[in-house]
Amino acid sequence: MDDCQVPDNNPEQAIQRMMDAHGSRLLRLCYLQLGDRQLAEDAVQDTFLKAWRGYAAFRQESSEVTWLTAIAINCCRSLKRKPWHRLIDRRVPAEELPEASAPFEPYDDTVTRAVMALPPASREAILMHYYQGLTVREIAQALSLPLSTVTTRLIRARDKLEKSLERWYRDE
Amino acid sequence: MNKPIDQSLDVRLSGLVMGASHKHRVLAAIKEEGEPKMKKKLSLGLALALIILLVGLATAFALTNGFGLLDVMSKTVMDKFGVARPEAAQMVKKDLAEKELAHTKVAIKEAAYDGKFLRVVYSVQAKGVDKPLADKPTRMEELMIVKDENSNDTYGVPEGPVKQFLEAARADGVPWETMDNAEADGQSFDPLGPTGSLSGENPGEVLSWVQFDLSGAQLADPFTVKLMIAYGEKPEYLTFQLPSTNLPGVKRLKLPEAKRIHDYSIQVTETLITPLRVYVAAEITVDAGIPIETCNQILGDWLVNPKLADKDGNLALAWIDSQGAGYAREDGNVAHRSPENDFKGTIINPEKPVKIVLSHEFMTTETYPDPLRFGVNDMDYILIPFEEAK
Repeated sequence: MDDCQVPDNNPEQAIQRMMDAHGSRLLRLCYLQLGDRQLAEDAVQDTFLKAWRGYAAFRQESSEVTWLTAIAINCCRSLKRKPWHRLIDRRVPAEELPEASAPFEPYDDTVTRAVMALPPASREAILMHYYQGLTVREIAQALSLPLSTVTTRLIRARDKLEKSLERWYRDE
Repeated sequence: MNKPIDQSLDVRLSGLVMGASHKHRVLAAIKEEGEPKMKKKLSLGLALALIILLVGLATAFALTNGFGLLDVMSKTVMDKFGVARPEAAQMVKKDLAEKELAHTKVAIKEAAYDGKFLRVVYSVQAKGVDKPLADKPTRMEELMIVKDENSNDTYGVPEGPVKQFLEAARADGVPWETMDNAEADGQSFDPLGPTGSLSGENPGEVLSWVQFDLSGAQLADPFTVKLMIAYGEKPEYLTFQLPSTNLPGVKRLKLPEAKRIHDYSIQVTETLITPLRVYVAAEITVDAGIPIETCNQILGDWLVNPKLADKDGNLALAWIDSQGAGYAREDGNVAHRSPENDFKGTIINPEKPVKIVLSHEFMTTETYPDPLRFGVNDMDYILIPFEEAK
């Protein structure tokens, strides 16, 4: 995870660099949040547009991953509130995802499915912590939540994951 | 062999990458937008005027009272979101309710009900903060910048009024970003569509707007809105009243006859003209026996390319937002993707038609052509006579 970066003088170049460095992971994060590839692409586009708009303020502050993750999570929340998200089921199941670029063991799907099955708040916490590598404090600050709330969400989410991944964990 | 969660997800989702074309789209959007918004020197009025010229509207009007509902909508979503007709000034009610909590003061600054949507802008002001969160109205996402002090675990929003505000809102359990629910005459509604927050002009103040679709509600005149402004063991509420009838500039048009187009027929189910929006909703019935791929194509066209124009397809009103387009949940005759059908949308009974529902919002204007043409291309459209329903 690249948490340190030299500020770019040109915001457009900076966004390009951020897309290269974080774009794919953010796309996966948004997919896991939204369950829809097209919506995930929209969310990532919104994320970088918002990053562009806020870049002047951001460039002296830093922690790129945390900043982008917080924006992406908020973009996903906005999209999930769109009525068509509720009206129709546009999900692309894991089976219909593009082929993985490397072979993987079939039951690796278990983790993806288990994460996607978590309630939204738990999924956010798990993805921000275990996937994007944010600390509890970073998550709390990014989502403007008390540390205790984030900790509770993580504990509950982990409990749920452990139950659904019992066999997966046991094999580990 | 098992891997940590992040690796497992990365391996399984490795086919999902942000490709060159996706990056290109982002850069194109950035170029289209121009300089970052916070550096723009254009006044809101000039920006709105430019938009009006661009969309070919002669007399759209924006209320520019600084931090009102329409301003906050424009500044947090996009400029055209807050463009409205002058009658909206009578519709927007001001300073409706307020309450002091231990660390914050919450006030309903403005609210409007246009016959369909309830829109609210509310202020959360942190006590003990002696200056505004920013020198000029700034989106909160731009102010909540996470710091990296090059040491362990020291990320955070900048010290100062923004942090003080967040701590105060957190202490009182005030949902400053949006509201999860509204009650209108005791009926519960979830928020719908976009929302946004902006630093206010007063010390420690943030203004947020949120909207609720009240379609189908049984409303008295006036009706009572109840909003939860603080969660926790002792929730706090604010209530206020708004008129529900004799709304200025609101017209519901008579529904035209259904129209047959190729493999389907379309029935307009609502055309509501208000000072804030033109709402058009319709139902499409695709003939029995038409394959799902064709249904998907029809759905996609009406979702992505809706146009409301004059009878020749000119003078189109700007599209603002969609309130949905998809296979009807109740009797759509399409099985939604689920583990049961192996995640494939399928037609349940090929001997029955497929039903699609859709709803779009367009920018309002001073005068409207008669008839209005609602469609997706030169073949697929329906004419809506500009005739008010009784």
